[in-house]
Amino acid sequence: MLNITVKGYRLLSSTGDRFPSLPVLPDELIIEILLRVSVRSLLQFKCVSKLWNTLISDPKFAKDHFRVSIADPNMAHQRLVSSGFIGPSKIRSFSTQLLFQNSPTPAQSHCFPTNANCRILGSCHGLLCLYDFRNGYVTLWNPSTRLQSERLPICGSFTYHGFGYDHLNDKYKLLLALKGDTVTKIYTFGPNSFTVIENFPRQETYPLGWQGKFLKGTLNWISKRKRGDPWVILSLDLGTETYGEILLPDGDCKYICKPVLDVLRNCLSVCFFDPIEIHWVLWLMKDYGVRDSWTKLTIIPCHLNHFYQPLCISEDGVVLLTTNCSELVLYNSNDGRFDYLKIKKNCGLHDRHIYYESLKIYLSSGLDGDLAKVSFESDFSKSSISKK
Amino acid sequence: MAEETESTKTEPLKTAEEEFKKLEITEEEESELKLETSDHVTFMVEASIAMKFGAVQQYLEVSPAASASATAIPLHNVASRELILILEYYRMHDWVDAGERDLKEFDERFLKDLNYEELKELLLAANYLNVEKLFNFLTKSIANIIRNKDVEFVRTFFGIDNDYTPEEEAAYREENAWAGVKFV
Repeated sequence: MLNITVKGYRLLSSTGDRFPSLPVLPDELIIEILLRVSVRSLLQFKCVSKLWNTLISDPKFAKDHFRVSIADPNMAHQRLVSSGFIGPSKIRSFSTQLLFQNSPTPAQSHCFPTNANCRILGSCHGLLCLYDFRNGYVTLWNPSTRLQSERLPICGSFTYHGFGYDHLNDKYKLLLALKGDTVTKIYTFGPNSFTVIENFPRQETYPLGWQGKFLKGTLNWISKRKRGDPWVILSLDLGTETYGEILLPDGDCKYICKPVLDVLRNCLSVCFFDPIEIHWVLWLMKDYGVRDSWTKLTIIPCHLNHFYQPLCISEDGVVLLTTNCSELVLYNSNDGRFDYLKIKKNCGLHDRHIYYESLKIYLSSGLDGDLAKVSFESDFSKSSISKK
Repeated sequence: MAEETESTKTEPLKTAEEEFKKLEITEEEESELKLETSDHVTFMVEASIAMKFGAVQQYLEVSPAASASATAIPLHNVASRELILILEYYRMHDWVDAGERDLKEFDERFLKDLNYEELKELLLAANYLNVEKLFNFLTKSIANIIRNKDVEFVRTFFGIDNDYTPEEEAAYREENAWAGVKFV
């Protein structure tokens, strides 16, 4: 028996007599590796073997893969998606990772073969909630797997809205505050399509704030109870379908102008203009619902009279912002530098959302799995052909 | 200096071990643990590093006497070659003066020196030892290697037999063909 005591491993070179067999990785290690592979590669790897196909198609694997993706600090699985609001425009997506690299060549976007009548109402678990305003329906679409849910007919136009996941009941839900008949409905994807809930306790003001932000089972909007009141965050618990309020930071700021609510680093964030100091302030609520956890993240100087909406923030403090002129800007909070990103013209940067690529197949109890596997592409190409 | 006089008092013979000890820049004497690999090589490892190994922690929970005694903690599924690499990785990542860029350069060099078989061996060892940081680094690195590679590469890499009929395989390939198109 060889038994050498070595102080300091550097003294050892190699044992030399290793059994030269090919190491075979057990399934659990292969799964750990696949959890870190992009969705597009995984879809192709379904052809590796029957076992791999079963494994990659497993909803639990999809869930774990998503969990690993959102924890990745390199933003490799994160994309910025936007749709056109005015005029025909398709849904486009940008790699967030590439945007942060700020390449001198214009940022390339990927144009999805969707139709031009869609607005993105929200995103959750890699699914986008799309609203076809011409044909009056909403649908859930996974841009990474290109699978789409059944259509949910929507009647009438709406102001406040929000899309999210109710983890109590394992359902995706959409809130719409309908115009005209002043009814607020919660549409549930799957059977029992909608319930009427207590009216949205806000007036129809400030369109920028109409879109609810989904975080931890709740939808959130920044608004005022009535004119002259202070800004507060209105939250809706998707499980219990009840409203609540969250107060803004108890900061040194007397006036809050043009506040926008967002989700950054998986926390609620609010960015607003301070007219006295003439700069923008970005706050992060580290513990959802805990007022003391509001933390001032950075101050963004006023630049070209733009107003900003933060989209995401890198680990080292660079914020990706969008301006009211549909531009994308990187603001480095360490050195105060602004970089306007070059984007191809006519990219229709409206309804901007950050989503994570996921394998999520929309399935809910009572809904046939095959139904969810309708390909959006064939669907859209058919509709565009028939229109011609 | 004090260390030298002490060592001459207690142990007149200078071993390679002590020579090495003198070379070390550590200011204080650090406690060590004795680890024995599957090919029966014994390593004296700084407790601060050895305690990062889940397998070592678990062993000491069951038999706490091993931390002080001369008995080596057996690592049944780790060969000395892998342990050397793992220690090298942890020493670098534990080094307080290592900047982010140093670590990145180190990681790149570390990976470059490994072939696919060694990489898999190391992952098996990291899994057995239950060392989270290295495990995540290796799984991420292998994921990067197979990313955007074709199905044949992946089968060879993992040693997987294709159990599809040619018709089945063609159907699956067609279904997901769009995913292989270059994407920005």
